[in-house]
Amino acid sequence: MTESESGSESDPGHRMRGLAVVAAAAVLAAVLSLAAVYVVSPGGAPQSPDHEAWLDQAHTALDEVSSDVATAQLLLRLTAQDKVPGPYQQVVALDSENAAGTVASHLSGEQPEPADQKTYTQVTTVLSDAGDLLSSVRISVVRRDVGRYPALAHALAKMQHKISWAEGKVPS
Amino acid sequence: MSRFFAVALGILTAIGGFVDIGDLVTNAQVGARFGLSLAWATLVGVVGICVFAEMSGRVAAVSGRATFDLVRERLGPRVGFLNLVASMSITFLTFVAEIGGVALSLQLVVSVHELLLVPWVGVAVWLILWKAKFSIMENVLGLFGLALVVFGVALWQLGPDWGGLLQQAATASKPADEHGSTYAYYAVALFGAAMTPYEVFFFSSGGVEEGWSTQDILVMRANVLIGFPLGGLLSVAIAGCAWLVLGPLNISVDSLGQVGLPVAAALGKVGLSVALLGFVSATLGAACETGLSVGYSITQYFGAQWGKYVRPREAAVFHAILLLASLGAVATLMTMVDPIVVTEMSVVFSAVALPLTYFPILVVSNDPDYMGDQVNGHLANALGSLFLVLVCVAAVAAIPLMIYTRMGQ
Repeated sequence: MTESESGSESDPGHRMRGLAVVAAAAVLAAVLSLAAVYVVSPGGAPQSPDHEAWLDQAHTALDEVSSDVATAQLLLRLTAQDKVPGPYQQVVALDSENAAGTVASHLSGEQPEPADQKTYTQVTTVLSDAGDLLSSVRISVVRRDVGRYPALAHALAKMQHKISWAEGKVPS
Repeated sequence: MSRFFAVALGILTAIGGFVDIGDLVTNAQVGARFGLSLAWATLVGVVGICVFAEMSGRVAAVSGRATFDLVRERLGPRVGFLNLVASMSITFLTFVAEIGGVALSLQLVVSVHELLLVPWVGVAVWLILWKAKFSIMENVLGLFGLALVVFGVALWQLGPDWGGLLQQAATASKPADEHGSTYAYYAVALFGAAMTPYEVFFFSSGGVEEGWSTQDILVMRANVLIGFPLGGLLSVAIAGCAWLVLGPLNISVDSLGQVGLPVAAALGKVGLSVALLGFVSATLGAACETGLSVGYSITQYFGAQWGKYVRPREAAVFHAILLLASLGAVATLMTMVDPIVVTEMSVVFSAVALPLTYFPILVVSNDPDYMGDQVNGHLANALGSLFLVLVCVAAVAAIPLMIYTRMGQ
């Protein structure tokens, strides 16, 4: 370090400016944290996306849950062929169930505009049904209830159709 | 014969050590959605990491000193500190992701919640960093990481239309239902995953740990120029498997369990078990590398004694940092943050930090005071400059793309 640099860093004014920057950053961080707590707090008002944003979120939610249902279908197919070890089956089934549940609860927690109420009911009902079905898959997988797999696979295929139908009801 | 063995071992460990949790998840995500149309991004990233790893390895071999040691001396404490903060933050984030990755991999084996496994993984990683010999740690985990070759076998077993796959890779044609912005976001993510900063820190510091000299430059180049590209092929194989099995079902990858399903489809339980061995080894190896890299970067910057080649008592600060980093990573994961999300973030933020990581390496490797007659040649400088431009573009684009596409949704 040069002498001039060293001198400028030991200058009280320089030090005060540095402290002011740090203090400002700390205040900004605190304000942002409080804002974030306010936004995500369960006690606060629900998020109220506008019409376009809500439709966008509904499409994304249906796509994600469709992916979870497809994962469960693939898992049951591979399990029926004895290609996946037991612990692996359980984790994949549980991950699919949890992921679908998170998506469904997030979308259900949003406040739709009155014009979207009908679509909201249709979409959240499908998401909820998909979550219930994925719970049934997880229960059967953990119990190694292989006899139920064909029926569950059939139900998952029907659920995919239901999700596609719901996607069709959400305007693009 | 021993030289041949050293080259072969180095190449094998470079292949096995190339893939980490970021590569596993990102390549499967991209493969399921885009097939091999983004293989070019992996290819560009692999060439980039080869260019800069070769430079940093050469710097270590010629000067006997590692990257951060020279960056601070050559560019001054301020630029060095900026470089340290950016690179070390990303490396720590990657360390968190890797420890989470080990826990997720073990969860697939034992079906115990990952939060119960995270503390034990943290302890295991710290013990390896503290007790295991550097060469044993690198070679054993690197060789077991080769188990991921099973993705290549699975791809072959799935019997794809090779012509179609090659055409998809060659034409880089984006699927019609995907947005250009999402395509660009994942291109940056793949580039960031291939060029993760810790790889060069670990490589150059590892060279110092192993006492490289100018006589080892050829072996080092063989490791980099053969091992890394073959490791990159593993990444492409992961993407190919995901495209063939998950793509037709419109499955988007958001868990490690989904990454292994194509191997189960192709090779059954045996193949999946080998893949699991690969997951655990690759993530554990990367966790050790990133953990060490956190310690290397801080101690090298501040001029403290560092490395596993000295006794822990002589490198107390280095080992204290390793302990604190392990504790910090475990604490972060215990907040119930999703390791897959941490992985996605680490890959994208890697891209942001790339210029600060690679610019100093280019400067140091061009300095005849350090490098003597091993200073960069025309080709190394041309490639280094070209990739510096590319990493700057990726760094500028990464955050806006992440926000605009909502992390690739």
